Amino acid sequence: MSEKSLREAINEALRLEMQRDAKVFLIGEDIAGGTGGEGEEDAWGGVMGVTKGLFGEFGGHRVIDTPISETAYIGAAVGAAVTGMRPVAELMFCDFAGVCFDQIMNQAAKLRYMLGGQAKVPLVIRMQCGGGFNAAAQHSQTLHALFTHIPGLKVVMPSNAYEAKGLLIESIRDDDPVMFMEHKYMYDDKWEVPDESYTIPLGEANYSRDGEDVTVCALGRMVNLCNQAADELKGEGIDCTVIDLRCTSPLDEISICESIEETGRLVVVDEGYPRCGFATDVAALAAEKALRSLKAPVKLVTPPHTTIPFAPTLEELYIPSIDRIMTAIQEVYHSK
Amino acid sequence: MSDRIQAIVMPKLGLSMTEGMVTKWYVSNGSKVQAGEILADIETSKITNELEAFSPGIIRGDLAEEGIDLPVGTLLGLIVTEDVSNEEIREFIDRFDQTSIEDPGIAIQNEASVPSTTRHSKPATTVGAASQGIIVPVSLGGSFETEQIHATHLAKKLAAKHNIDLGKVEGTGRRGRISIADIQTAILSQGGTWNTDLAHSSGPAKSVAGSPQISATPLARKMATQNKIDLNLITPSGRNGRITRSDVEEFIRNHMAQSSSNIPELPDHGDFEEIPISTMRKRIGQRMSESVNTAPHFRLSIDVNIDRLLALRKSINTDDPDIRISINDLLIRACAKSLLEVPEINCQYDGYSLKRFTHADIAVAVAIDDGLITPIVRKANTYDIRSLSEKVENLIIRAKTGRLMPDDILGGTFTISNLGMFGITSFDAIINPPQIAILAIGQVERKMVEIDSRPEFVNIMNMTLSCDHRVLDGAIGAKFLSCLKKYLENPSEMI
Repeated sequence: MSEKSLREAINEALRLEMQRDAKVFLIGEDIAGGTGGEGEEDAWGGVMGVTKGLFGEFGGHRVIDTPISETAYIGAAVGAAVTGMRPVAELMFCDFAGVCFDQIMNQAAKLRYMLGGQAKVPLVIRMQCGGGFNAAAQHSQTLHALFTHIPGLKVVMPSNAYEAKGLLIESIRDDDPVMFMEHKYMYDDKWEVPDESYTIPLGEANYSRDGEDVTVCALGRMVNLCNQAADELKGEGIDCTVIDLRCTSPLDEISICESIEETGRLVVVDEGYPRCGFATDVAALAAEKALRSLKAPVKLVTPPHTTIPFAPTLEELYIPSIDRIMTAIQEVYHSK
Repeated sequence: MSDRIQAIVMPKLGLSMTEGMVTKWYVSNGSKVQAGEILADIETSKITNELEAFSPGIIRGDLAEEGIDLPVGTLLGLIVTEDVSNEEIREFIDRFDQTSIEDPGIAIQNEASVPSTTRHSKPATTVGAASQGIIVPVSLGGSFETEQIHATHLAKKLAAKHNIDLGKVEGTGRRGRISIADIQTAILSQGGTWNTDLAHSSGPAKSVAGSPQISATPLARKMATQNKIDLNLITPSGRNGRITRSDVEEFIRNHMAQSSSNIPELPDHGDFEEIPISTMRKRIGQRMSESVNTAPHFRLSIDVNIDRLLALRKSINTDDPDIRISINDLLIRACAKSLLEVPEINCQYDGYSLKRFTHADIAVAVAIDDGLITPIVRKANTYDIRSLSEKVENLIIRAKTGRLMPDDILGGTFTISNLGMFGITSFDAIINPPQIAILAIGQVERKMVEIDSRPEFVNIMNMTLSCDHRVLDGAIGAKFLSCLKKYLENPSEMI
């Protein structure tokens, strides 16, 4: 066990699975990271350096660099999965999903169902999400809600390096297409991560804080902000449960409802767009299945329904902050 | 806990029972008892019941005082085998006290006795702490390795708190994961008790009536609970109107001062006698206040000519000397028929859901020494008049001798209250929730009425129906009363 960054933990998960199972291979733009010239291969390991070192260890037939065509290589990955391989495709930014959305939505998500279970699609599509880097509107989105809307896709969003390793290994071993969303702001965040292989089941939430006053649901990077808000508020006597949902699909509805029954108060924090979004989905769940337990209106902390601004000051206002989360929790707690 | 020492605790004799009283002990410290022997009479809100010895042994420990209200689960005494020493008994009692204090509201039933509702008396000895909330059957008791069990976080927490072995609970979630709902299913299917409200509000001090809505620091909340202070009464001084520790302390200071100086002392010259309020009295008070405060009552009155009814009764009683049909029996019969014809009345309403019943379970108010009790004639519509009469007589005798079972008094879809025998001509009654209507019967009077343009003396009975306006309107009430009148004035149609 040692401290590892999110980048290192994901790299380790990929390497362990590639060692374990010869069917696992990587495909994507720049993941081998060469310039094409002699001696330059494996220079980068993808745009964020996540796959660095894997080309050297496993070779070009298992770490496949592709031309700049998401349509082509995501389509190829779906096809490979149907034939029994276990591809891990890197889409770079989730914002690029639009280019290959037919391959994701109409092929990967539907084939197992439409072929009556005679084919499986054991595919993982890794991608970055999230803002905070002043990367502007086309490279900062958090589009998990878009994928969650499609039945047949699993959607995973780890909140730290430990979670990422266990969840990625589980996702690679899963027989369904998994959209694996890594928050780009956290690639350097370090966490205690065991060296050996381990899995975290999909669809089972983690209680990263356990309190009895307010339930706070979040995913990915937002979990860490919620934890900090909860720790601050503990000093004020407000005892929060923070639920790291880990996945939006399958969603651990039971854990959410059980916690609402205990606390009676719910705040949902999400970095995605608010309309038809993930936060509204959890709020609807509470209204449908746990309304009688609620003692106060549900509060949602999300960005405004607008495009992510490039200006650093505006982007800072746009993304949910610890202050906004704390205010929401206080309002819900004091609401009568 | 071995079989050598068994606790006798205040049993829970119905869903709503929270406390009860030992009215009489039939045994004393040192008595030898056989299994099934009657140990004591327990008086609850509505009934008196016998407490039986679950197994043979010797009665030990300080027996609970007679005539005092005690919470369900309170230790009343012990049954021990001969070889048990005084030291072991003391140790057992100490441990028992500790578990009750640490964890009020939870009971582990370590005896293999499953609560049954039909036996003459409830299982007499349950071992463990107070038994509100959740009673875990012994078959589920134990502990589990948290790493080896696949359950939700809160399911594990709940199980650890209530000493449930999750290895014995079947999970229905993804990959067999166990949820709180699964624990509930397991407990209920194996004869345990589950009170969801208590189970979920596991936090300390949060279940005080009215207080979860009020902003207070956890410490202030705890202090208020310990001192039984309603948080509504405390003036807050904290940020955002939050009640703090000092607010509670100030309230206690002022409150204490008030109770000693401001309230004039009553003269102590023997001018009055302090009457203890019985559990039943309190319970009646609670229910009636709740009914008046939540259900908007309206009343409908009607006069019924019962000449034919009296004639019919006479002819039945003359034909068969073995039976004695009363006017009450005929009234129950007529109500049962009418309730099925106007099913809107044959309902229960708890403020959330309205339940309409297929059978008429009619409660009959019976005056007893210390109050009032309403035994229920189940499925009154299914009996003919003779068996109905026997059934009612049996219930009334048992009511007057305090020998009703919980099953005789719980539920009901309608109530009849008759004060005719006391000379009351007409009155209205308060609905017994969750029922939505009650019929009040006055005495039979000779009245002159106009029949075929001539004055004639007939026997008139006044009836008043009280209805819950949240779910009933005047027209439905009127429809029911006219249906009832039709049967009472033409009784051959209902016999």
